[in-house]
Amino acid sequence: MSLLSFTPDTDWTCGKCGGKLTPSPVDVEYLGNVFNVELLGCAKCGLVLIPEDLALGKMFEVEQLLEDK
Amino acid sequence: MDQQQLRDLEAKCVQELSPQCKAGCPLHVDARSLCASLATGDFDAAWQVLLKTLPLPGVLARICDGPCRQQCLRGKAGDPVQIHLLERSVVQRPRPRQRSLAMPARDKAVAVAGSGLSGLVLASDLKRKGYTVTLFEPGPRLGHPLYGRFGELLPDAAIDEEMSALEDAGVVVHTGAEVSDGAFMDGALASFDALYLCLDAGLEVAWPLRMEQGAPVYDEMLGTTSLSRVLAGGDSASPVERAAQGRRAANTIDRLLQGVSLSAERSDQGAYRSRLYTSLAKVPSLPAVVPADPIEGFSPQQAAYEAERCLQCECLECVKACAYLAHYKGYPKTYARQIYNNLAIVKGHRQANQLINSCMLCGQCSALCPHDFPMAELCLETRQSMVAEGIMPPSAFDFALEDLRFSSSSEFFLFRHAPGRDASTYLLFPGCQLCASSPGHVEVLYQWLRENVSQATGLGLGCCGVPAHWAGERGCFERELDRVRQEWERLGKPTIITACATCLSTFQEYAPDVAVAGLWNIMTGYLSPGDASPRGAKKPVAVHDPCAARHNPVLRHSARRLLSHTGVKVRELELAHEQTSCCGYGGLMYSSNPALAKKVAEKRVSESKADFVAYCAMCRDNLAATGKRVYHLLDLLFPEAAKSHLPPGNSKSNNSAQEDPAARPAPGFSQRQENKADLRRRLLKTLWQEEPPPMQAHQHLDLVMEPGLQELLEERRILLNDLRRVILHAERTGQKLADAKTGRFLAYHQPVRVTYWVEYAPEGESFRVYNAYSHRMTIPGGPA
Ligand code: SF4
Ligand code: SF4
Ligand code: SF4
Ligand SMILES: [Zn+2]
Repeated sequence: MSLLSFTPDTDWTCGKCGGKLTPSPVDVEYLGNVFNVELLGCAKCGLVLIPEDLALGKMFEVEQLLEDK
Repeated sequence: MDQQQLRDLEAKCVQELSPQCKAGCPLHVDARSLCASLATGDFDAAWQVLLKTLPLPGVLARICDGPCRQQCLRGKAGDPVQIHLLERSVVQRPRPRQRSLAMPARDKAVAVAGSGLSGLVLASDLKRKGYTVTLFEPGPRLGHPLYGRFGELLPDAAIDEEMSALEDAGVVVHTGAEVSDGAFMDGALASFDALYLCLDAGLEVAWPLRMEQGAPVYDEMLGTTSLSRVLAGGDSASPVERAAQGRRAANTIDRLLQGVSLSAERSDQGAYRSRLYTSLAKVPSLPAVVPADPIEGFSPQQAAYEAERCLQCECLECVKACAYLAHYKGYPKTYARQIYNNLAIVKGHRQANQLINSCMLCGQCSALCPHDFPMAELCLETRQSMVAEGIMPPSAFDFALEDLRFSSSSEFFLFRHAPGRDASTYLLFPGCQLCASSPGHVEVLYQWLRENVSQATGLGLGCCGVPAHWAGERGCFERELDRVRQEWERLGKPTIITACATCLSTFQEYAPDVAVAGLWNIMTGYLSPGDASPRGAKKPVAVHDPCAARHNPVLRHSARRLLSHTGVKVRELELAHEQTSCCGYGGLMYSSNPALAKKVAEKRVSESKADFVAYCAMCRDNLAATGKRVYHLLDLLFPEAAKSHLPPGNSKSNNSAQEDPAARPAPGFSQRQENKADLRRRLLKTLWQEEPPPMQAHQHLDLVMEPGLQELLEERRILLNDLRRVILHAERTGQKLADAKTGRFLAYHQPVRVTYWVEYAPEGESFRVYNAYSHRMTIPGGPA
């Protein structure tokens, strides 16, 4: 899987340490399939950001595809 | 499912079989398509229909005696469609250009003695198949036996046209031929591979064939005679039958010359009765259109009128009734194949998953189908094998299964003897959906049963497990059912009284050892006319039977009796009793295909303008969610209950429920869970004087949000308790994103399978929610 990137401009910051969110590669998994995607997140605390349009758009599409595979 | 099972299934659906007209036509002309074209005035298309199956159309269409009419279904609602006259009107218009589909030439030759109808049709058919055909006619011209034989119906010019077409196609013609003696036959058999004797050419032959009463003996279906390469036919009184005899003999010759079986798979040759079923239920009777001039035939306008009388016979009984079957644009036969293919896929896209998971498993199709097509069994068994193989899409039924888990958790599950008793004769098992929809009714009902039926009536709150069954989760279903059974045994095996038709049928079918009775059946024994007089329902109401009562006539009857006791006038829907339609809950369609479930409910409520009354809580709510006024039978039986025992929650809806129970909005998913949990807590307190167990931490969080957002969350299948868990988790761990400008937080949490995201901000003692969404992909290493 190619590295997909979802790193929009955002006002969200890490609520734990107050740090800025920076792009970093994250493994997401569904039904045994792992995808490496680039998401915004706090490198220190490990929190990531999955925006609404990603969750309900591309991510949902891939979920449906994998469920029917 | 194996190939054979698929074929057996497919054979049950008759939708693709020929209409009676086509079956009844010895040549199997597709009169249904002919009528469809003519009804729109498309003579070219009608011509093409004839060219496909009717040999020598310029001749046959003019003289066909129309035996198809005896079978035409229109004859049962008026006069049969005069297909023969329609065909005539077609061939009186110019013939469209025909694509010649001549097959590659074959090195076999056939001789034909006599050019009557059967011989001409045989010659035309075999020529098209690529054989060399030579026709020997004793008369002066090709088609001699036809000229003048049909009077004005068949003018010479029409015969000329077809005869030239035959010669143009390459049929070799010898006129003035001497065919009667045996020498001709011997000669022909020496030079040709097969010989056909046309019995409708007025020939007297002295061939060495087995004869009876001066005519050769031949097989009616195959055309074979006592000699292997000599065939005969064409002595029927009906012109079209003579043509068909020629065609069948041509088929036999073709098989003979190819060395294959002469008789295999020929049962549908010749006229037969089709198994296609077509309902005449709503068909008004219509008389035949009479042509002004019998020779001229129909004007184009008259032809269109006559063709419009055609019913376009097909079955689709199930599809007409079931919005689900209609949605996927096919019918059970095509669906069976799609489902079979879906199961056969090892790797690749399984396109029929949604088809399989959307069926309401309600059995209406089988009740309507002339051959009981078992769509529900097919979809259920397929779901079970999908679960067994681990290929069931989790998103299809997860939401419903989570709800089942809630119902069997300590939040709701409760089995008790009546307060102060240590034995039970009866056990009220309202069913999870009545508790979720209208907990107040459960309290009233429980009191009523103890006061009127038996003080020794225990109470059971739980779920029969049917959602797991519908989801194809056999193991889970058995466990759930078993839990209820164990509680029932612990309480001394009282007779279960259930208000839910689905619980009733589930116990009856899958736990036959458990004694169970339908609430409505019990109540008819204790209520008399006038015992309940609803204030609201003065107007007639239409009864909606739950699909689970399809095979329970006693229950359906009891519900109606109770209704009549209330004095309300009852209207029957067209699809009622054993033919009733599902509300959209069955088979968990609300979980696997919410959009279609909505359509299903909308279709159902559109069937009558009257207010509906349902006697299943889920039906009531699903139908009411469309905006339709729908009563629950209990609303009419206990009119005061709606007033004094209202479900907690939104006070606005409570007010309207007091005034008008039919307008009570269907509670959303969050509300349903809260209703169930609150009912248990309230009953423990009021009846058993027990302090209910403390609420879980997240349940104390108070949420505020705009009503529009609440609706969106319902659509997204996100419950208030899901939000509470996320917020509690974020507030406890500090794991949340923050926006300094707005002061809001964004947090995520994956309690079981789904990850929920909530955008919120504290507001006084509460939390204001601005948005929420979810996904099923997991973020490993994310906050647990
Ligand atoms: S009504 Fe139409 S389709 Fe049906 S049998 Fe008659 S001609 Fe055929
Ligand atoms: S929803 Fe009901 S009527 Fe429709 S196909 Fe399924 S079982 Fe048959
Ligand atoms: S009712 Fe439905 S399943 Fe039965 S024969 Fe007709 S189309 Fe086929
Ligand atoms: Zn941080």
